Amino acid sequence: MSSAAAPAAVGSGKELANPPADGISNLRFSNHSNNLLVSSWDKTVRLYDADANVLKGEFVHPGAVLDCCFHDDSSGFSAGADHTVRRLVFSSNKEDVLGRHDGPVRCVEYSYAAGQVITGSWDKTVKCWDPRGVSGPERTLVGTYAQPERVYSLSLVGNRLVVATAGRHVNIYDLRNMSQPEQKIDSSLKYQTRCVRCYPNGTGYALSSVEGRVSMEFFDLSESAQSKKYAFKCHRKSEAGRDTVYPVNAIAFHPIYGTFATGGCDGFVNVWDGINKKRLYQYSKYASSIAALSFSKDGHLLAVASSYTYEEGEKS
Amino acid sequence: MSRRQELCRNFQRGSCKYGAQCRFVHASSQQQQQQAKPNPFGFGSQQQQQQQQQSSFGVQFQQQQQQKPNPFGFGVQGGAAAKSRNAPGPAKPFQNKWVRDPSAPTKQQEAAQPPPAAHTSCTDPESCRHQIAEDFKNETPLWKLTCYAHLRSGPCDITGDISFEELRAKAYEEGRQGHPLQSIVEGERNLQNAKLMEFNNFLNNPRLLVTQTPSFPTVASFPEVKNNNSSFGVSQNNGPPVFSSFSQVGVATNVGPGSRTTPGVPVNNIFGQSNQTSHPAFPAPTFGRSDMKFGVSGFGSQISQQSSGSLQASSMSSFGNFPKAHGGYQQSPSSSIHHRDIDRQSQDLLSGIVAPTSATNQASVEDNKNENQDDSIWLKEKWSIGEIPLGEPPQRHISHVF
Repeated sequence: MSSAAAPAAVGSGKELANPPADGISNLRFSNHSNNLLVSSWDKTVRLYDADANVLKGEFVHPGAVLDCCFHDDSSGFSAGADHTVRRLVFSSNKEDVLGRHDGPVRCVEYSYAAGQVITGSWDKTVKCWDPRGVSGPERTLVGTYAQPERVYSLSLVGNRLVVATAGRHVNIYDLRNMSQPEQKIDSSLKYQTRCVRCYPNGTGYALSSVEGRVSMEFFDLSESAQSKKYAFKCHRKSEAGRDTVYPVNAIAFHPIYGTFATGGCDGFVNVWDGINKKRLYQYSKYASSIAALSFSKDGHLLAVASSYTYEEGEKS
Repeated sequence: MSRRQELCRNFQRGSCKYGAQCRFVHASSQQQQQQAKPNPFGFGSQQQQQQQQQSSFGVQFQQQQQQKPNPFGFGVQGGAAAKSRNAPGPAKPFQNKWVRDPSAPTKQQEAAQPPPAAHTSCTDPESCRHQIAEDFKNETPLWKLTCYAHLRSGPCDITGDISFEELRAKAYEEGRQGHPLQSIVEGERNLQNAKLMEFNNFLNNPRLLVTQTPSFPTVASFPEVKNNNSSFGVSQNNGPPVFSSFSQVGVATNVGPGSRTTPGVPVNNIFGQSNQTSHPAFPAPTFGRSDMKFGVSGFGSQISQQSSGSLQASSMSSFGNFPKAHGGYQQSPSSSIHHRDIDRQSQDLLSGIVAPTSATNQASVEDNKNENQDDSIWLKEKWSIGEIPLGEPPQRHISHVF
């Protein structure tokens, strides 16, 4: 289990001190600085200063934390397996419960456009919360939106929300009108969806699955836009004619170049140019599966979380 | 798609030893015409371009590469020969230092598949079958507890998705409740075996959704499962008596590894299932389409419930009942309720993966109550997407048997 911030050069990067004690579920760079928020199965959310390699804060939750995100540089949100969405205030090291789901909360995102916290849970709903609500979870809930299945991943760009659920469903919402999805489709990949991330330019999203494939999709349903969509294989190891097909756990887009990195259970991080359909480079193999990836706001740093992601069940 | 129309992979690579006698088509451009969408990089998923993957083509930092295939290639047109890759492309922005992987030819033979454009709809069961066989042979993912669809952008053929995190959360919860590591591992292994069986059965007898609306919910609905009734009879080879006696089921569906019996038995013992037979895992996958996600497939849910440590004694008897919904293999009136219990409980289980064991027992009581309210749903002519029931129809609503 290591969390490393790698400069944009080939290598395995600088490992951060005081990593979590159990698997990392997600990590995020702040949009304002090089603070890194890391959520883990050891029930903590940790805040690091990636430049200084210093642990700045730690929040302990009652249950495993499945996702985390920044609000601004001084506060963030976490999604817990104990069904809660919590707001974390870094300066005072305080946290409070923003809201609850009926099941473990798998994803949390903050939308600057809507000023809302959006969470997806295994209770098959996506909920929107207003973080300015002060008194208790009842006042903060803006809306609940039923999904066809348990939510596995979600991503925001501009006014769009993409929700990927079990059973390969993908719902695309316009945040301004959440009453019904803008698009409801099945993933073009054949197996379970692992991760969905929107392009920084807002034209589409990348979907990754457990079958070592990533598909590049576009929001625009016109024929010309849809003709640009494609899927490619990655994170596979071929030996003796057969592929070992690794799940692609994480995708992260470079905020400026639009290139993206994918991380899989094979322990590799690949960086791709989606427009030209080429792989740019690949970092050295990490000790265990890549659990999460995040680029810093200026794209100079890539945070790589490497920890066992349970793709082989309980290891006894 | 018949094999006569398949492109010759060797020809594409520049040399086919059969020449004019080759069984496959020697044309470099046919693939382009077949593609549903133009792709200048010849790149769509499962194009014959995949064969390029093996030759570590494209941008290479040799010191970094560990035989990682490069799926992108150099944007060569579909059908361009792999060997002559240097020739057709324009000046490449990156150094072309690819080394032809010696194992590539073998892989490329396997990798070349009919273009997926042919599978945008299930008009040809044979091609679907072929596609499924190819997928399973070449691209079985490491993670087994997944759903699967043979059509890209199509509905799932095998449902019952479980993600890594869900399994992990469940295991952590069980650990917190004090289950020994061994039982947790056994439970997970059961889940995996059952799923593998499901995949195996689907491979041997794919039931393709021809009558379903495209966006049917993941949770398997009975109309969908009923489509598979005839296939069950076929695959089982035993007909009605199969489901009533578990031993027969075990024999008939002994597709998977024989070691399956072992996990089944100890798990049962661990969870104190008195009326447990040793084959709970087996029948689940035979309902190829059924919702393994602790849903319709009573057997599957059996396993999952076991693994989560809940004592679902009532669910045992429902096995005999399950086939009833699919065509009345055995009619056991009282067990229909139990089967619904399984579905409800399974759903509860999955959604409340962190929920304590005792909750599920309560769920069974509630399910009985809920069932009475749902009767009107069975009387409807046509179900719309949102209201397809999760459970099986009670006895009184079964109009005919297959």
